[in-house]
Amino acid sequence: MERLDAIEHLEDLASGDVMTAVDQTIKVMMSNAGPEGPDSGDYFNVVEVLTKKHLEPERVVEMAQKGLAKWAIESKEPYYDLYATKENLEDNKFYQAHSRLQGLGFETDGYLQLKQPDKAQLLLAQMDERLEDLKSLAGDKQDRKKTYAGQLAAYWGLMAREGELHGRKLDAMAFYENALLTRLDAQQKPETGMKDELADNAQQLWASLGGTDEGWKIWYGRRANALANQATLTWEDANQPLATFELTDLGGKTWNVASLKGKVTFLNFWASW
Amino acid sequence: MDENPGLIAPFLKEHQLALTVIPAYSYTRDTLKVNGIPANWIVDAGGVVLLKGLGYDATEKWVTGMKEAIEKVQAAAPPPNPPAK
Repeated sequence: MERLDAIEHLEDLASGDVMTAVDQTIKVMMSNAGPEGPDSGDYFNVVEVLTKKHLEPERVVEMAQKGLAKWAIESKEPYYDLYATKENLEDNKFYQAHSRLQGLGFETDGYLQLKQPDKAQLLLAQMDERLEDLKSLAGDKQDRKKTYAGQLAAYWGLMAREGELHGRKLDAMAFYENALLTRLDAQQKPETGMKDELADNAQQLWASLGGTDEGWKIWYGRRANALANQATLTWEDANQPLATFELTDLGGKTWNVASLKGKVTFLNFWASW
Repeated sequence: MDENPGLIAPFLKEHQLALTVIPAYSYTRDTLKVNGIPANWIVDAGGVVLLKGLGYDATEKWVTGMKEAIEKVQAAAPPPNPPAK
């Protein structure tokens, strides 16, 4: 599985090598699975790689459907964890809903590659509905909100490709714009220099509609660069005596304000999580 | 911000860190009111917090940024010479 994960991110691997790895993974997945068969996550992991590499769309559709069927069973099982906090439960619900949307997205992608936009359209309508649920499950938690935005961007990207296949170019362009902007919000743009299919496809359509390179740079390029250069570290001036404390470090030494006097001290507040 | 030394020690070892670590969740949160991490404060020789940094940067930029901030505070208030005992 780890090998497969790595392969997903390698850009110039021959498709034969990818398929060998995929077949091996499926073999292991089947032999490791219990009597109930592999779980939805196993299916989706394999499908994700095939989707990214644009390989075997029939298989993508088939395995995504199997994964979704398995998901439906899994989602009815109660979540057992005696020590789960309210937040764990919320996370679990959110990521479960997210996983279904990913599955639907893979299936849609498969149909788009098979040039069956009608089937894709039906799935997209389902995704639209589920995205509403995902949004409310995300609540105001930062990482969940970001994951939601990533999924929303994926949805708009699929909508755009569906529009293109149906010959609705202007619709598709608007959807691409949504996808690109949502993805910037989610800060999930591929790093500079990496292949960026969404932006490439969008720019191609832009050009075919009469858009210029110059216009594209102004519309998208600037925003994308601004995000890449954005610093998230901010400094503010303060003038505030350090509140008194008496605390013991891991080595057993006791520290207080007086023990810091005479030297400039650098305090870094951190956590291992 | 962890309070559990069992979590911190393996983390330091894994990342090969040698620094003074003081578990101080409630002091940090309730007294200093640090409400987001990572946060970095620079305290001058007299025990006054002069700079507060919140958020993170790419590693290289972070190191230079922190050094600059520390030097700025050092320049603002040179340590008493000889150091008070």
